[in-house]
Amino acid sequence: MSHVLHTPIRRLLTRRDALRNLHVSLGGMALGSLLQAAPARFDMLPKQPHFPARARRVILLFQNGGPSQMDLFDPKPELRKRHGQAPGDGFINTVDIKKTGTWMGSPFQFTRHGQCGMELSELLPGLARHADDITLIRSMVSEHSNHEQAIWYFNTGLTTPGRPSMGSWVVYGLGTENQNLPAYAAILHPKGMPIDGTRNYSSGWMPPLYQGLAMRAEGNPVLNLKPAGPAEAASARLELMQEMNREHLRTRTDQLDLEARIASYELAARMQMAATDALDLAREPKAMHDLYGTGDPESGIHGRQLLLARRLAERGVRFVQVLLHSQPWDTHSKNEQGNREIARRTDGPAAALLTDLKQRGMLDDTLVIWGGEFGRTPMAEGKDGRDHHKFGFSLWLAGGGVKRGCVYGATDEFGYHSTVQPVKMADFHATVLHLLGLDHERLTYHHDTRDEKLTDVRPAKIVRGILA
Amino acid sequence: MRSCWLVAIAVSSWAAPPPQFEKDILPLFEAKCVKCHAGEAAQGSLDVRTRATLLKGGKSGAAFLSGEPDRSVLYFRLRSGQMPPGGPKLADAELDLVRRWIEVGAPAESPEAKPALGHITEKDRKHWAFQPPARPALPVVKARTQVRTPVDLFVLAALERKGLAMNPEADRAALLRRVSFDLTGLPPAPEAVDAFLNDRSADAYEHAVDLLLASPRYGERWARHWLDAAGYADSEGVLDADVVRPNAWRYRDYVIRAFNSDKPYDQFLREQIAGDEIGEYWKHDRLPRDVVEKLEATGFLRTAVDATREDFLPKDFAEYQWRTLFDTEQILVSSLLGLTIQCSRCHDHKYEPITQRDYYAVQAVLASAIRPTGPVLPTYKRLVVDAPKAEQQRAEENNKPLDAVAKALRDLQNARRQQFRAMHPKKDQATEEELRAAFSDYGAKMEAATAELKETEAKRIVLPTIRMLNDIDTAPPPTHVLLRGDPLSPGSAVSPGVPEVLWTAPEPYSAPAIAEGAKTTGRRLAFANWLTQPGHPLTARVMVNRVWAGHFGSGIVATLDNFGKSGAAPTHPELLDWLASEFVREGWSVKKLHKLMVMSAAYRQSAAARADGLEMDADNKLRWRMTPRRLEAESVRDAILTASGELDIHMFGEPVKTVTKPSGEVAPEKDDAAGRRSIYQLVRRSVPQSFLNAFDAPPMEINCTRRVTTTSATQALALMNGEFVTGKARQFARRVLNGAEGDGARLRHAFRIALAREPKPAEIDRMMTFLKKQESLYADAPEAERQRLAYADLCQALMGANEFVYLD
Repeated sequence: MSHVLHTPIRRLLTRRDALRNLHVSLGGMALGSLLQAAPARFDMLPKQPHFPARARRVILLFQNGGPSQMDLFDPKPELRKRHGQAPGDGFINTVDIKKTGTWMGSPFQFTRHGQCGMELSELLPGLARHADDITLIRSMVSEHSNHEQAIWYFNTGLTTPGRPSMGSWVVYGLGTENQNLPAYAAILHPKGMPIDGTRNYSSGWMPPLYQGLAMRAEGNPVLNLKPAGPAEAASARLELMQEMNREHLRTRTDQLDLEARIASYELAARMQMAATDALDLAREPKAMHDLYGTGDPESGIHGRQLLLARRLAERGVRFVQVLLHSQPWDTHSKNEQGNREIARRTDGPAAALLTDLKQRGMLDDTLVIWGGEFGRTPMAEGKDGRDHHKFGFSLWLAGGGVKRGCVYGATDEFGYHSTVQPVKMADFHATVLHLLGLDHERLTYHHDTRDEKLTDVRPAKIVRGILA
Repeated sequence: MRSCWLVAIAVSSWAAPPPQFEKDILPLFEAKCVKCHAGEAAQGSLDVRTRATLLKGGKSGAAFLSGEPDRSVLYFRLRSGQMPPGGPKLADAELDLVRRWIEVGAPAESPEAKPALGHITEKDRKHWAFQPPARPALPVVKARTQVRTPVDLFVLAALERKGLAMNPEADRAALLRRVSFDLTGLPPAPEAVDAFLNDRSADAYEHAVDLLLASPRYGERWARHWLDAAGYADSEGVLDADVVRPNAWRYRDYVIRAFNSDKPYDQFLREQIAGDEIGEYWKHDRLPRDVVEKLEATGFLRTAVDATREDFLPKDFAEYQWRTLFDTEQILVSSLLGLTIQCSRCHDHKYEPITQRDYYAVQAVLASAIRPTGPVLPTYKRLVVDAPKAEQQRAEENNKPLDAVAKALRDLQNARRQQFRAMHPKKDQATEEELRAAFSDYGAKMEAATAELKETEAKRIVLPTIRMLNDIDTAPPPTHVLLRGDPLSPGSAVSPGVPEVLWTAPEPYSAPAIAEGAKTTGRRLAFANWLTQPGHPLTARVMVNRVWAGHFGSGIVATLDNFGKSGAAPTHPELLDWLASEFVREGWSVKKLHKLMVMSAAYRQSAAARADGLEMDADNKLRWRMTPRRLEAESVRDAILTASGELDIHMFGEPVKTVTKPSGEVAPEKDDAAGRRSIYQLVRRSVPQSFLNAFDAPPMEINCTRRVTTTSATQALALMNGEFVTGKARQFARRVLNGAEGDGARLRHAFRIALAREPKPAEIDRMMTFLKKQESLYADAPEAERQRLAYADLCQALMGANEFVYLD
């Protein structure tokens, strides 16, 4: 009981009863599945997956804005050859057809890396060192060319707002291993929110218990964690309050909310201790700071974010989502310069995370995901930019259960269409859940007359070709 | 479908495209014929809703003979004026359309469509919520002595059927605390508790209730419930800009005033849906106060996320523009009709008798005012200036040269920035701070221009504006069913209307006659009139249920936004109908409705658990006790402010701005009326206030018809360590120390303020020990300070206690 953060059991029972009433009106056909959808209670205790998991936790590096596949992951010599030529029929800028420009080759050199010989751009020297550790998918497909809708699609499975994010689904399904820390952490960039703010880690219509707890990799990562006043006085104050609470509960033993609230104070007190340790980067040795480059004027902030991500993952936090500020990959103009800058800010830390996880033996059961909501057009936007592009783009995964040194899928000669083994977002979601031991068809949450799934009603298939 | 067209073209010499059933004929029939000729009980067994059913015909045989209008019963009956019975006869153009349609072979998009569009059967309509409520007879009960209002007869009757009883009346102090929070969102002052406890007259409680209902705090509390359902926010909610709406608050104030003045609910709805059409604002030069109020009311339909920003419009992002229309419909229908109509945007509803066509019929009601395509007005231009034309002109004349000056100043600043950047090693990457650091005169020059700019801005005349909804033109483009909900795939045209399953209302939806020169279509007024007719199956039920949930913790229908077949069944169906009927009979008075509920013995009973009750009805659906509840976010915050003595009861006006502190906490700006009630705090969707957010204030994605209550460590940390709470605890302590002499009296004072009760002797002992201990822990502090610190800790513990945030 002491682990329970949240127990709206009465409400839940009411809903179950509502379902029973529904059962009467539906003539009994849906009762079984609907009741199954309502868990006994909402809590964060560790849950058994549907089948043995390959990964026990996730670190999601969300690269919003739309990283350019042709400039980072997907070499296109043909595109370079036809640089400046008008694209043929069928190649359009889907954001605004009038803005369809000429083919624009990447200014960056691609070379082969690792034993696998994965071709990567010169912008990613750090990742290149880990070519043999990752699976690069070059055939992602999104359904939308606007940031918001595509972000909702990436994070929540549909292009409509208000749904629970991937992390919410995962902690709803699996709970967490450390009751002293939040199950789902969203590490924000100190400079501010990404586009769409809190919705990136919202629990949507699930109870807020499942929302990402926002942390910042600077200052106080969690609000109000530092005891107010001297520690002894604060703990005496808490003790008095809890005594009052227990006395109050004595004549109200049927009210589980009250007990849950007492437990929440206990967790908060534990978090004051445990989280202070978990969140304190000063406790890392200098070598680690050097590895992540936390002092680097350009990549230092992201380095601190990822170091914090590793500290949380290490302590059993189930889902860590790292967010960038604004929409850095959105290179509508000065594509070359923009890519250089954002790659410099992010590549080193991402590589450091892989190195670090590998050294600690954590990469075997930690799934690292790096990707954005869509890619960019192989055609120029204006004089030197690239626009949003949904038909073909790249992302990579590493660790728990995915192949190492693997390139999956391909786009056409320009990087426009995913032509070989296209991976739809629903496939990607189903695969992530699969790696965690969850069946996307069985992980359902009853909401508003439906048993909802992360993959919604879309046909989704596990991308078996990337499974180790 | 293609073959149909070919046939049509082959036999037709018309230059205009031939009429097509779904697009041209059905909308006409829907407006004129389907009230009688649809579904299982269709008159003459003729269902006119598909080509197939017309061909199958009714008692008079096939309705038409393809290619031969003059031998077709359908055309004959319409032309002769036999149909529609009672008239009016179809216009010549309409008759011509039907004639041509038959002549060219009666083409249809889905010629074989069977019962097709009309899934609505008599059985569907029989669902209790779609039948107008009848006023049930009052039941007879055994425990007659417990009955205080008719509500109790229904509650007791249901309990007695199960062999259960009601709890006795709650402890008086607990009861006053409960009803004070319920009606005003605030705790009772210690003086109010004393007055109530000392008043031994029979009507002491009624007197207390009347005082609460008359308090301006009442409107603030119940407006909050309403604003949840209406999806109120102070920002547009799109992308990271999430621009603040400068004048949305006038709608918030309208709602507060409406509750405080007990505006009849039917009028309240009519004003919010069609205030512009009722007020005929276009007729006035200086808007009279009552017209202003009606325009403010239409803010109800302006709450949805709105992307009509000037910089977005040229991009023609259909998804952004359409979303406003989609969300507004969801807000309208979920809050007022308790239906999940949003599920039928892409396909017929899976669980409800609501068709996709129904969805777009309601959309058509709104589509004359919210336009997602064509020339779209940016959101900030959709307002009226609340000043006479002459004054507007004066303002314009005054502002024009000032705006020119301001522009020149801004240009100057930009030019200067470029000039200095050119000299900086980082060139145009140099930030403002870097420029200031590098060039000593840069800052001073920029600031001089900024000061001048400010001065210029101050001279502008800014007239008050109202963010209203109005019809954009009187002949809006047709509304189409969107195939799969996709704005780029329009299907057949739909006329404005209401869900077919609700044609059970005594009066149909019908467009009122619109006066010459009126700047409106009358569609929303027609909808509002249909909605507020006395025998409407849902309007009164949905509202009495909402008010009930506000007092009893859950609705008679637990799913406040879903009265459909997939919603929860009512726990007390007859009580719901009796309340609905009484509500209408009493002139839709919301205050009378409150009184009916809070005066009841069902409401006044204690929250104590009983074994028989827990065993037979653990969820307390039958109301054998009062359901214990946690305070809502705003009440938690307002109660803390009240305890500190710093609650600022100044009403109305612009929202209190928020700041993001260095810690990342979003809180009210310090010196900007931070003590005002939570309803006046800025609701910016992308930057929710940390404290309210932690206690489940809704994020206003669309709207919130029922809040969730969670218990989380984030809340605990805010109450243990948060700056807001620790600050208020110090004020609370000061109040206690100044308000009484001696620890005993001070402890009593503190308990009465925080918990509306006296401390028990054991509690006094415990608190005394605590104070001593804290003082010893603060031994380093000056002596005078030690007591203050100890008391602040005690006060903070009281405000963090379960008893503080839960109601018995």
